[in-house]
Amino acid sequence: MRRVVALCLACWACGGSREDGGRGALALADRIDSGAGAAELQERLVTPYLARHPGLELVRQSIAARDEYHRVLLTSLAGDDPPDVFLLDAEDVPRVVDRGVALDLVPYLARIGVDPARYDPALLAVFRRGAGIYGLPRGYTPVVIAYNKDLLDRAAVPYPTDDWTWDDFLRVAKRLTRDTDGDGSIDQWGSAFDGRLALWLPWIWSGGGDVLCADGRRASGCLDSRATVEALRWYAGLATSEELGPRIRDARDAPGAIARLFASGRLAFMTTGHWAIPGLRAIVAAGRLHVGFVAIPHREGVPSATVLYVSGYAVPAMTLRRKAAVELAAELTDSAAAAARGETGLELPAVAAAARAVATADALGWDAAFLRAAARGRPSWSARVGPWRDVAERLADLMDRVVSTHEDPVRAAGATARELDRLLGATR
Amino acid sequence: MALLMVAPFLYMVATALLGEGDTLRRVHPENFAAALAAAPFGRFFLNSAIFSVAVALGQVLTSTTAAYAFARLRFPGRDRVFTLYLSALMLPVVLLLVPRFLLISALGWADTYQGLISTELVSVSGIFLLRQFFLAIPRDLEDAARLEGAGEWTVFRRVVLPQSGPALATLGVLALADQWKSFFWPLVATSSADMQVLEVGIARLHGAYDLNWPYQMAAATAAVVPMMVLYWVAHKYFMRGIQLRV
Amino acid sequence: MTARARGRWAALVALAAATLLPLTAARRVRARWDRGLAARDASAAAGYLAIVTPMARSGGGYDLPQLLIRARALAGLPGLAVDFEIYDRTAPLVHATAPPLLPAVLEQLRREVAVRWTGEAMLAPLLDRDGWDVVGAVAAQPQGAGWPVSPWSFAALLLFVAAGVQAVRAMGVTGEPWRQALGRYGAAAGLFGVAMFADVRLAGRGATDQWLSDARLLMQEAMARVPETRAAPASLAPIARGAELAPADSLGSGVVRRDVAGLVRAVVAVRLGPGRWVELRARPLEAGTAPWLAVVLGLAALGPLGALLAGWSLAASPRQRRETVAAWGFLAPSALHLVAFTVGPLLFALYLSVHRFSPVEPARPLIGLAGYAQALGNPLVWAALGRTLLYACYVPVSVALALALALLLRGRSRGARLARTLFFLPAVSSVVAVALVWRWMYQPDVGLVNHLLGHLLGHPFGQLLTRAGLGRVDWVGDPAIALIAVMIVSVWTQLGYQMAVFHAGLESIPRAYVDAARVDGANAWQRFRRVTLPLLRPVILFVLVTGILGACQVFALVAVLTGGGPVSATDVAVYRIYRTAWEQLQFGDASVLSVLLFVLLLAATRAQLKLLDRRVEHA
Repeated sequence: MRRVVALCLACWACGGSREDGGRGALALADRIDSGAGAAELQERLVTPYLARHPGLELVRQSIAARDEYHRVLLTSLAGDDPPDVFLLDAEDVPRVVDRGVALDLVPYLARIGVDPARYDPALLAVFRRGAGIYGLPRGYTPVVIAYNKDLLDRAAVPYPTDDWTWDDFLRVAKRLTRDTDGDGSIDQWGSAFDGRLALWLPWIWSGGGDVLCADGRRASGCLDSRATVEALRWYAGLATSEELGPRIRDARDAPGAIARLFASGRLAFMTTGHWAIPGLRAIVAAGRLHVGFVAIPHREGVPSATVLYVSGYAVPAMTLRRKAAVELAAELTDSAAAAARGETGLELPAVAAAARAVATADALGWDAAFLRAAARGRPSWSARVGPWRDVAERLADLMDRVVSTHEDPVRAAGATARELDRLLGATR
Repeated sequence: MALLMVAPFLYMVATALLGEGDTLRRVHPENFAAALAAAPFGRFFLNSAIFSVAVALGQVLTSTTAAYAFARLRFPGRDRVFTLYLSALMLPVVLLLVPRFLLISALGWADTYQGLISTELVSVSGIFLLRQFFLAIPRDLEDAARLEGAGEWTVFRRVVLPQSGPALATLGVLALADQWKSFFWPLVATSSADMQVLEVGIARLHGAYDLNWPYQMAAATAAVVPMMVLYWVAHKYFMRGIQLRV
Repeated sequence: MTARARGRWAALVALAAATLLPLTAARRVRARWDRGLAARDASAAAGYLAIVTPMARSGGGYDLPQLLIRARALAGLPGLAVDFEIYDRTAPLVHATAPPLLPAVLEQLRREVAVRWTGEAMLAPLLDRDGWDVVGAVAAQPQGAGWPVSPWSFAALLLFVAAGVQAVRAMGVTGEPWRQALGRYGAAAGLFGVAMFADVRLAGRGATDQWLSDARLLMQEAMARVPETRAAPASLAPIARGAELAPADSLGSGVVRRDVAGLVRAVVAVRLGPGRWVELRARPLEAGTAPWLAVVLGLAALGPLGALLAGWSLAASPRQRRETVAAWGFLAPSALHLVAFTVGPLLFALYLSVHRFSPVEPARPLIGLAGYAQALGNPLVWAALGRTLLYACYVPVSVALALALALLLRGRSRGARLARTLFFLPAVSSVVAVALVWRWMYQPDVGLVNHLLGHLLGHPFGQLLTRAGLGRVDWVGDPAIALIAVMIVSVWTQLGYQMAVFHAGLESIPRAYVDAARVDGANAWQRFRRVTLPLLRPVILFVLVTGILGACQVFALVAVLTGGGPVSATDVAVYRIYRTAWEQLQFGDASVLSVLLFVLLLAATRAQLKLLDRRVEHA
């Protein structure tokens, strides 16, 4: 019996290290968004590449769930057999790039005829460290507001413009929260509270606050500043006020519930990103809804701002297959790929010209609104702060506490700020 | 009271068929089609079926032989070994989860059927159950066969197995139902959408964005129905399993 | 052949296996490490050539005469552990008369750009200066290994064989001499195993040292030929792929083992210039060899085990022997499986719990009990454990309900049977589906539960409650209620199963007992209290214990119904462990929590069993 334990342990030990040789095929790790033909799209994008490289074998590891992908990617990068090209979400950039895992692509881009200027500079910046470029941005989305044109028309409210303020938002939202069929219960809402940090962070920014400062090394002085606390209080108000939105307290159920309310025409404003477009396109095409997009409103006297969520492809520094890997990464982010991906509507292409083309081709004017919003956006803290996952968990917890247990935002933000200071200080 | 127990199932089917908020006016069977089209349900079904059938077969096999040894054969240290076996029941599943995951990863079995199935092939409670059964059947026939010079394997195969059809069926049915419901290990052992079993698949669906309640209820119905059918068909085996355990 | 001779033969075969198998295993490990060394040296040579050789002016590869000179110089360097051959495309440069590389092999190298074992040598692609195109290959052939065993292993081997032969001779003798011989045999096996393990370890150490000193030699060569690399040591990194380059002080000339941030590293210093050093750090091969101790010891133990079994079978009656062999044959599948997938992982979980272990971090330092101290000092852990116990309180409730129902629905009437069947349905249906359904029913605005509650409470009262803010209970959204909501679902799912168990228990109570009580004039309650309950006690115990053990391990229901929320209100122990392991990727911490939960469950079960045992005795 002992023998078998030993053998098993030995297998585990030898599985970890591979001394002779390695995998002979190029490996691509990718996150395939579920639905909307994303898998077929990837197939289509790599086919010409494979056709031009006969004999090349491509091993693909495609995972849909974000958390799952994060885990599998980091595990395989830490192992002895990392993929040769991998999709890198901005939130994994600190972990991967700052530790020297990714290859600096600058020396090779010219050789394969890629001008880094083709990418939107704000997005490329996420993957830049000094003069080096450690990843090629693929696509991104700003956080924006989707609005239901029918509801606004019916109430004779003009469509919002990009420079609208929180007060405008509240006024319209209040006006559109109504009991339309007169049965005594409200069945149409102006806004809905979404507890996801990714979606409420831009609201804090457009309120003049922020959750971290000093290049992400500190939270106190920012998270507990007056502007931030006020913005937290204001945003939490969307959850607790009966005259603004439905009571969906549970953050986990919110995404689906809000999207469904919006899709069924019972919600006027929804904070969202580009990922909502494939679904909405289908609904709009069926004529069930008219939808517009607009930037997130800002607090009076504060410049409007939003968050950009970016992902791109990177190549590990230790791969021997630099040529094939860099070529594939470039091809997956070139304008043809960008255009194809733009068509599916899952994200805005990071190639600036392709994004403009997508916006021009979009008769609904949605992508143009996204581009205008993106112009005022900056990448999320996740692209800079190594322990962002821990930070995010505590921030989500903060919002949860303010909303669910009605804790005083000043005290709660102060406590969280101290906790985050410890967390950020401890990791340095 | 019994109605209360069934009400959630009725509500589930009603929501799936009638849609959210609708009164009993219109039936939307297309909800099922739409929900089942929203994710690779066929694949989930197939994975669940492969997983639970393979595990049930494996458990029946390993349990029968082990239970026979414990119930019928005398060998040094038998009771101590049996106690060791039983003590495995005390281990919380979650304790073994991480090491088992690392083990199958090291074998290169992460996200494969081998990895999913291999860890589940032995069920100590199944061994216990069959041992109870073997202890309860008379051993005259076996002894007669032994007197005629049959080896242990022959006795097992020719005499014991033919008598224990119902017990094996009981164990098989229970194992099948158990594995079909199994969620934690498949969640950990698989990562790609192609390998997900039904339970994990519908749990993930829940997190997915524009799926409304009728769709989710349709998915839940699809997950529940096979087990209901199994229960209906094999009702007596479920009850026998309980009798054997008490 | 007599039984005795057969036994001796068997023991001798076991002895042969116990000597040959560890030798073979050790040989294979060493061969693998030699190949690994060749692979790394081949990569190092390719990296070295890329640094020192100028490219051809016309493009398309290195300047051939220069490459030829460098390649021959490289192969002539003294002290390298492998024999090199360098190919410019397919043409061999070092030994002009050697056969050229097959074009197909070069083509494969181009395509795969991976190090390959050709059967006698490691073939690494030779890339151009930028690491872009494959322009040739480097073959590294491991030099023939020295003695297959070290002198002390050989001595241990002789001792082992001698002790084995002696034991075989003593076979059939019962009592002290046999036991002594067997003891000596076992000790010799241990010694042999340890010696073989030392061999394996030393081979790993040797291979690591050799590689690092080869890499250093090539780096120094490279600096001598291309002086500008002295200023930028990072440019030398391709020579030592897989090792880390770090600035350092002088270390002396040897390869040393040193603790770097909690990890053992093989370190060698490379002199860049006067007073300037870098060091190469690599994970030593022998660091991962601990499992081999178990492997070779286990293989060596085959000998004494074989002798022991053979001796026993001589002493045992034929029937006993036959049954034992048969029994272990029958047990083998499950026993092997349990060892591989339960005992092994259990030990590994304990190992994980004393290490800081994350699958995404290469560093896995031993932290001892610090993880436990940290977990026990964390109020969130205590909160989760407390919540788990609180949650488990639904079990007594559902057990009492189930017992009552079982008594009620005892009959054989169609109605009772149907009711029992229906009650059992939740137990057979998918947990995730059940959680989804209840989640939907718990929706505050549109869910069925609140809807029914509204009706149930009647209009005036319901409105009053609504005005008080209680009308619409936010079941899974309100931190104060969410855990109760989960408990309600649990009662719903468990009730039918527990009732079925009680039903089976009641059926097994002989009617005569109850009838006797009836004759004695006991009323229904007395009959239950005095007859049924005591007889049912073991069943109650069973349901209670298994129920609580199950409740303490609840996962799927919480994961789907509440996701541990809101505000951690349903963050029970197993869910927390899951998140620690799979979201924060802290396998070590998760193992600590699992072990704590295990200890808690063990203690709880024992306490409960004792308590109820005593009551059973008193009854």
